[in-house]
Amino acid sequence: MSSAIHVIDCGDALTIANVAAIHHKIQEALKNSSNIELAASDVEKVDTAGLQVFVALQKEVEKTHGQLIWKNPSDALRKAADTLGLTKCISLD
Amino acid sequence: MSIDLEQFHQVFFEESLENLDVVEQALVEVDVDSDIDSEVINTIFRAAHSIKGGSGTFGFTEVTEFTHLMETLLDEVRDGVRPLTQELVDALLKSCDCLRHWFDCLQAKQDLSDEQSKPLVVIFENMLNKNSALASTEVNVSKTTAGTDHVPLHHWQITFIPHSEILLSGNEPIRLFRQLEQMGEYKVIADISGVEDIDQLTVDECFISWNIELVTTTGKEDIVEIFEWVIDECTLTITDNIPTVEANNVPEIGREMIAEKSGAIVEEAKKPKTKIEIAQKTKTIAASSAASSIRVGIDKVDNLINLVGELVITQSMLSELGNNFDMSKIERLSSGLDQLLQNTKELQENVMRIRMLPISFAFNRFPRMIRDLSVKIGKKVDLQINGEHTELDKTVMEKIGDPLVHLVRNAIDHGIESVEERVAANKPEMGVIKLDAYHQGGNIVIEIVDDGKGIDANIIGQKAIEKGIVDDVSKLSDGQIYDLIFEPGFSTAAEISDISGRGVGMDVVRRNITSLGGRIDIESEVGKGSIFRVHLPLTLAILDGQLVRVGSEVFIIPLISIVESLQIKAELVNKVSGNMILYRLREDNVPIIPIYKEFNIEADNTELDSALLVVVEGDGRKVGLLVDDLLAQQQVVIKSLESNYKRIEGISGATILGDGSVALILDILGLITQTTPKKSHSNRSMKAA
Repeated sequence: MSSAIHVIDCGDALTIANVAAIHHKIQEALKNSSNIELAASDVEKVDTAGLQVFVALQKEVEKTHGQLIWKNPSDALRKAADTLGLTKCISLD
Repeated sequence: MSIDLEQFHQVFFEESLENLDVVEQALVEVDVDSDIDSEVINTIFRAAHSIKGGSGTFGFTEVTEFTHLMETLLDEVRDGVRPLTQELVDALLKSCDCLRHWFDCLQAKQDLSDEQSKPLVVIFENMLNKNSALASTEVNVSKTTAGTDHVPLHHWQITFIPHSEILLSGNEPIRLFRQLEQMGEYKVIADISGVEDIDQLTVDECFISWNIELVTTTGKEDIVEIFEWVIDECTLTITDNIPTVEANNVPEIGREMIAEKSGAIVEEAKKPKTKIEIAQKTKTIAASSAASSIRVGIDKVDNLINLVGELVITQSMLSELGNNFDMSKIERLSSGLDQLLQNTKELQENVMRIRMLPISFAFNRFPRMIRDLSVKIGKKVDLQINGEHTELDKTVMEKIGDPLVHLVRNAIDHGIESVEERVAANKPEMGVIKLDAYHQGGNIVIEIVDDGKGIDANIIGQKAIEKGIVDDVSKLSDGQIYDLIFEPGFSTAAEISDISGRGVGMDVVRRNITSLGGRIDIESEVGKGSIFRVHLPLTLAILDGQLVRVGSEVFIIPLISIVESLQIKAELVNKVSGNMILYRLREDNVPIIPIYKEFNIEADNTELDSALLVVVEGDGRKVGLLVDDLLAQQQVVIKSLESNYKRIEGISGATILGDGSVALILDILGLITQTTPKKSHSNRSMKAA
């Protein structure tokens, strides 16, 4: 596994409707690197399922001594994480 | 499995708009000076509550917060704590406007602006603060007397452990928590220990649970209510963690302790939060799903099912006849075909009925509008509505709304006199505007009647001459002079008022009505009032048409446009400049449009003498269409040419005839507009000298 940073574009919605696609992207990315950068500036819609997958990702990168990096997380994303008490859990702070 | 809540948005918008209508109607009927029926308040409250609940579910935070304020005030009114004042009624009515605007924005996926809501929020908060000041005073007074009656400050400890399948049923913790956030000081700790490894994670199930601390004056019931929809899908405990203290009567030392522990909790808990958090931007890449829908009574659907049942029986009977047919069964075949005809006709009528809505959908906006306008311009107006159950096609209904608004505004602004004028004219102070709707033949007629000053034909005629719309009105009938107000340019800037003169003239009203295949006429008597009568087709999907033949082509002329059909007499034909041929029809000179030339086809007959002329009227102008033959009259189903082929000037659509051939439906207004020059459009200006 390389130490290069793999970038995942979160798109504009992190919701139950499209979390399966993000989950798949993450799994593919983790095959190559445990350093994941999430481009999240366009995220407008967020729900619990959308954030939960990042909780699992955070656990995974901690386990593999990797890093989870957020690139320009949108206000909507920050607000949703705050409301659900997940800001720290997904390293958004 | 994933559920996209967006698919339910449209239903929510429609229900909310209906709820707003309910609120508005109830508020308009309220007389604050007399005893108010508690059921009216309950009705308003329930409607506001539904909007709040729905918007919370779908994450429309601004709507939720705004309606929460409305609901709080209404709740106080319901409990008898707050009187329903005129100020509150006005503010609530304005809130309906604000919410309607927001729903329009949400449907169009636009950002919500707080332009309308901001001043209302201030008003609501002032009212609520006044009440809490009042409550505070009362508490202090009661403390000195009885020492009871407090506003308790709770420190709720909420444990929310959702079942893993909660997300699959469309329930979303974040929406619940957003509502809790609005209630006071909110702290949340998520327990993520149950979240599985990324490879094992079932992404649409929930493995997180939460512990929430909420410091608020809100009672347990209101918190439980938030979790009402998920109560079967979670383990929920709500406990009050510290001894109840009184928000308005916290001893100084206690106040400090609480403040130290949780910031400015006391202050926050005393008043509702005002900050509108835009949690979700409304822009999405999803294509708009605002396809309009229609609610249909179950009886109409049942009727359809019965009819389809009968159709199937008839079809099996005919199939069986066809299998073993011989001439002895000809009578049965004939009766079977009659039955089929009957079934099809009934089915058609019933399907068309599905699209029919009572015109009250269009009329309902007027009580509020008239209330506001009459206050604004200081006129007293009583609105009387009749025939609100008359049904009309939904598409026609949607398009007729604005022209009706304009006509009603005009009636108030220009028709009804001021109180002084009415008294001087020996009329009751209260003017009357009547809206009436009824069916007449295949049409619906909508009347806007006022008992105002009427239209003075002399003044209209004079103004039309000044504006250059006509040269001479001496030979025009009153009806023709009234029609001049529908001419473009009749309204002048000097006349523009806040009420009816918004730069959209009566010409636009008539154009909208004629584009629906309808017409408008006026009756008026000076000093007595006016009647604006709008005739509209019941539906835009089917029209009554006259089939005409030109060469080998069959065209359809909408029956509603036809004035008469006649055989041309050569001596009445006049050729004028610009290659225009006019036909002298009694008092009028009517331009002749040879259809074969318009559509470049070969006709049987190009000579005018003895040829057939169908005189049609559109937008108040008459033309004669030269055709080879008049065929049958029949109802035709309109098929869009634009969506199936492309737009053709002079053709409004197409239909399929009984023999399977396609016939084009003539766009009478389009033909008139493109054929006759503007100045000579008006039959008035072409009057025979």
